[in-house]
Amino acid sequence: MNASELVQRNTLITSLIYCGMSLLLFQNLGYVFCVSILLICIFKVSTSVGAVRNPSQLVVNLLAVTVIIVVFLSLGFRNTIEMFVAMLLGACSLKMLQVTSEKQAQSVYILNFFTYPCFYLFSQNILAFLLIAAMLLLNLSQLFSVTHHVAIKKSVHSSVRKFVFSLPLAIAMVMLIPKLPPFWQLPNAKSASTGLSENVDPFEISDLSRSSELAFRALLPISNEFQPPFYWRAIIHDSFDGKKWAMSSLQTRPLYKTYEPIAQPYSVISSPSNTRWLYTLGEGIPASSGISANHFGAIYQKKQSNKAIQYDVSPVKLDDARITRWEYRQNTHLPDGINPKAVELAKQWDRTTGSTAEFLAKMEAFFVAQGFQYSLSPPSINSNDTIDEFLFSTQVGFCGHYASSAAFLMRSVGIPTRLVSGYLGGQFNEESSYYAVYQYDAHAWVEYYVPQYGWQRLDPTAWVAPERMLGSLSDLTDLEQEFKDNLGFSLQAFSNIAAINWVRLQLEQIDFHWTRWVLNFDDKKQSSLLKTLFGQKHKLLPALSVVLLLILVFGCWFIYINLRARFKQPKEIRIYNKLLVLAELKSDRLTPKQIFECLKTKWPHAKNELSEFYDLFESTRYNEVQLSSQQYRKLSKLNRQIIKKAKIK
Amino acid sequence: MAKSLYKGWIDKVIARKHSANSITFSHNNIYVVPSLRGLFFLLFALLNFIIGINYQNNLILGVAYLMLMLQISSLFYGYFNLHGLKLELLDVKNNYSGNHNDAKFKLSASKEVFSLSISSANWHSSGVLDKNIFESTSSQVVSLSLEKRGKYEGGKFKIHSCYPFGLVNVWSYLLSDKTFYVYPTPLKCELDLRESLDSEDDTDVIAQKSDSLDEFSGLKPYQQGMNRNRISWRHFAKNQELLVKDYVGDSHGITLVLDFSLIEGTKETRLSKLCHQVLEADRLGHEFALKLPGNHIPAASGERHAVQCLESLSEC
Repeated sequence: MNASELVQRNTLITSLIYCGMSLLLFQNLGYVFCVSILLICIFKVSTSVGAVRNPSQLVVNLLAVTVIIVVFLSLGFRNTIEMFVAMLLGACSLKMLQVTSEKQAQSVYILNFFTYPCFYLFSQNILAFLLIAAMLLLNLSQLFSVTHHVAIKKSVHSSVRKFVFSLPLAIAMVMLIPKLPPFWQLPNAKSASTGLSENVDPFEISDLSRSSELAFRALLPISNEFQPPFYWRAIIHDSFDGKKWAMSSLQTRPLYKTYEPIAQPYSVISSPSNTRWLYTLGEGIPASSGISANHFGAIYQKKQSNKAIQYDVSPVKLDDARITRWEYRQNTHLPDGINPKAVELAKQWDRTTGSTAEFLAKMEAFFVAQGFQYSLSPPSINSNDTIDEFLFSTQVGFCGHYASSAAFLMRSVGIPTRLVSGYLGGQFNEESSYYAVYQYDAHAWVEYYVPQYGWQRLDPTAWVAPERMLGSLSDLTDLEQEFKDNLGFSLQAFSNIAAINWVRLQLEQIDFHWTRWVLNFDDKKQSSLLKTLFGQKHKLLPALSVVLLLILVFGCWFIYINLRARFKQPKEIRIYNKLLVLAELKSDRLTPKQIFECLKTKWPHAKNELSEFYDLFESTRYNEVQLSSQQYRKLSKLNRQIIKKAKIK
Repeated sequence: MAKSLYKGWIDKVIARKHSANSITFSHNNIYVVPSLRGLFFLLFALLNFIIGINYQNNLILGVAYLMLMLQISSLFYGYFNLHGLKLELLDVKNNYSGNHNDAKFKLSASKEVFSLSISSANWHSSGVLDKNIFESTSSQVVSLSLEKRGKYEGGKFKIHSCYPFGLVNVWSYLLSDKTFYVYPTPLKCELDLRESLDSEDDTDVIAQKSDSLDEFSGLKPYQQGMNRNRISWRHFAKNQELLVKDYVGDSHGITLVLDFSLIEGTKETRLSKLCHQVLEADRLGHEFALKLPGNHIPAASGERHAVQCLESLSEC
């Protein structure tokens, strides 16, 4: 295969890779951009099969301008990272149309070592890792192929060895080289994952779309303080406009109240999310940097990141026995003139009860007696008085409906109440003892204020579906079919098939350790690892050990290379060279035959052995006869005898 | 000043280590540094490192370290590529100016050698460029393009490889003591052999001597430029055949001479014409002498003689 054909073939492969990479980042880069990359790829394929001529410089420039315009229009300046990656991919794809010489191809393959890892800005799960690693390996092989004019298959073979040699060293460096803090802030890529919504309007959604994506994992200490049900608080909604519950303005206000710790801290590893709000069991104070507690004792990231993050939280009890007047007003506010029947019902209960607890008992009795049903796909309600409609007519709904109705009923009689959204439950993984919480575990409940006691939790859904409190949603047998219908295609949907469930759990396990130990291997984990490796002197030693490790590895390798060449020499040559050294002769000027004549005069005792030796030597060196092992033994024996006799003299 | 001192020192080291017609590459005569492309590779590794640090992204950080390791190990792979290779300059062919002088190399390798280039450090050369050598060969030819005639030393050959990935430059030298000639370009002209007596002798003496001729050795067919006095008219009268009488003298035989001073034109034109005539005379099998300013080649014939003449033409 000649060089230009090789370049052609390689650029075609690379073009397809760019196309695949863009399609995988479809959600981040937008479909307009993906389509244009796809078109460029099709163009490349058609030029390589000969259907279309190679484009001229002008055409490529015009295409480049088009791609730039497409990127600006579809992504804009607000998504800086997406725009940057899109530009890079676009430019590389276009370059593929143009590359003809080997030098150009080499430059592109060098650049790809920067282009491909950009994928990690968007996704870092284990599949993405393997995919990009494989792509980098292929890229290395392609660089090899175009540089040395070797067919791709063969160059893959040579490159794999070099890649595999470097990989463990690189891993060791990641582990040992002290982690630096970020130099400066860079814009983050938007995460494509789903999360909690900041406004809750249950009545607008008729079909709750559930996803089996992981929300987070929690490592809880084994203790009495951590018993189900697990209510994971995330967002507090305290303003109600008659339809939706909006996120509180205090959600990002730092915590100024006093608090006391009530249990050991626990860790949470959250999946990438499109919001900043994190999860705590009840109220909590974070012990990790970059995370704050807000006014409600819920926690949030100061700056949104698109990666999985691990954080520690100490559970606390906030001192919230008193609330301010404006807080009271905020939490009892209702728009006028909506849901008259519900307001009437609440007022009626209020007149007959003397305390909040009694009022709640009345409300619970109402929900239980009326035969409300829990469903993931309730009928939609198209009315202004949505809560009236729900309470007195449809009576079918999910957590949002119950929480919203209960909060409305309570507010209408002046009990300060707010809606909380977060997650309920968690699936326990016995092998690694963590709780996995999925997106379908999302839940909404209410918190109400009792003077002197503070804010209390109330879950109206539990009255209707009490089993929902103890397990994950996936454990509910009577909802099984409905739940699975909502999930769409995923391994979770087949969890009743034992083999598939086993596979799913194993994959989860791998993902857990991956997220915990690889993605979240931060300075904290590193320093504890280094402490176990190097003891107390872990400040200076790691850096030194990296240098030493590198010197050791490369030094040994270098020595090995030099020695191997020596051992690779055939035995007869080695013995011959030894004899030369012994006789203090130089082989440069003389043929072996002359040398042996020399040796014979030098060591007359060993004349016969030398002749025999030379016969064997000649037959293998000049007549190219492969010696048998017996003959090799004979050579060694002769060598010993010659040396012995030479020394006698 | 410092630079020239440094250069002088480098040249001295190279001259000491690499002066041979054959060299086996090992740790003390292979030089390895990252190439420009390798530096770009490191630049991208640095970019990845910065991004990895700023996003606290261990995977990108890992890629940055992987690239660094690849670059460092490439130095070793590159070294290993040439290590153990034996290179021998067999011979450099003489040729006419305007053509190539082929330097023939013998390569003995116990393993594959990738992207090997051999080029002359002194002159423009081509031939062995990015070649993958899969087995020992003795037919690697480097063509040297030289414009000016003359005698040249084999000079410095640079052996270079960019293996692996083009990230490194691995090179070594071979300083050969073989010499070769670039002959003047032959310029087509009439063969103009003049008969003359051997050089130093005085014309009068020869004239005298020509009567008391030395031993008559035989008759030879007449060629243009031969002295007409020596034509055997007897034979012409008999057979219509022009023959000349040939004599064997001690040191003063009459020979055919190509004489630099008798040809017109500039020095280079004259030499080119002489070159053509030497070739022509050799082709026709004449015995001839060559007279150049400051050099005289006595009459002889045969290939060796022709080569000697051409060489002295180159050196003139």
